[in-house]
Amino acid sequence: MNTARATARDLSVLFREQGPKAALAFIRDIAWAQLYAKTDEIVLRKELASGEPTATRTVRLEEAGAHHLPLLAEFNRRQCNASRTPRFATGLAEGKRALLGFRDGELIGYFWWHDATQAVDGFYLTPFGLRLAEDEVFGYDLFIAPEHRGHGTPAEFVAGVEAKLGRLGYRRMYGFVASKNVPARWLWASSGYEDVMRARTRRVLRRLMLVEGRGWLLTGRHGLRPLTGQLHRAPPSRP
Amino acid sequence: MSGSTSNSTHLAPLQRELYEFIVSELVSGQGAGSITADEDLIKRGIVDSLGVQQLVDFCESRYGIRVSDADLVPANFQTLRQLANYVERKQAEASSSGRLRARGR
Repeated sequence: MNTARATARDLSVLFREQGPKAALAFIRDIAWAQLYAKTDEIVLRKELASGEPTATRTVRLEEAGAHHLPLLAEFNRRQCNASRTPRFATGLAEGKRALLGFRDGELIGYFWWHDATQAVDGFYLTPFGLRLAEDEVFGYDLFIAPEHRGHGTPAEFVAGVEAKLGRLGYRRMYGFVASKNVPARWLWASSGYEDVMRARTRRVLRRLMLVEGRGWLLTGRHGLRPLTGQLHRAPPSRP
Repeated sequence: MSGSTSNSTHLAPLQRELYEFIVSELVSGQGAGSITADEDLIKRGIVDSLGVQQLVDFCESRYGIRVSDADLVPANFQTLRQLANYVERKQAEASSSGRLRARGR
């Protein structure tokens, strides 16, 4: 299913389940995002424990693979987020990695991450002056289904993610959180993440990005070109 | 709520008010009566990612403070004592900045 069809499906589900007002708001948000988007986020960081990680009690983690795509598609449909599914398929095909959380056999959420070997970090981190070292990861898409939020489940999922990344040899994790998203901010803060910096961005016509007053041009899926300088794709910092 | 009274009598007035809110809005099931001023509310799962939003809304509306992004850290919300201290500190800041504004007029 391509993105346009998935978006149309989300729209029809929203219309059916939440009425015309929600559907109109959805269309307005999509249209507006093509023109202008403003974000105010906090960059977070945590040193991952090097010792034997504690096992999670009720959440089981699995590394996402192509065989999970039908399950993820169904999960995204339930969340009116079917337009994410093509992105997941592309991401997995490109070698990006995700961890899926299961509780009593049911998929409850996912977490996407990459390390310095993937050029995608040029997109997320370069404008903020951050480069991943070999033992660092960047987590960029954590989602827990609303019915599984609270009661410590998201914190347990995050702890499981850290344990898994720690076992893979990573020692530090970076992430982002919207500054106004109180539950998400609390989840990271109470899990031991410290604020590194504030990241305020403005995106115009999806291509021009302003980060704390500096301009960047988005080139293709992963490239970033400073408006005054050479193309910057954030090559991995290998010795 | 009545089951919590014996425990809350050992708390300072502000702590007791916060305690009453937490017990009535955030704690489900039994065991609420054993919350002490220094009990870890995060470890007990009382202040989780959803509960903290309710707690922030309550503090802002009840005590007239503004919980800033930077204030959303365990050091301010981990125990009843820390939470009460935080509220008092913010109220003091608000009133001193109010006095400064009034003086500047």
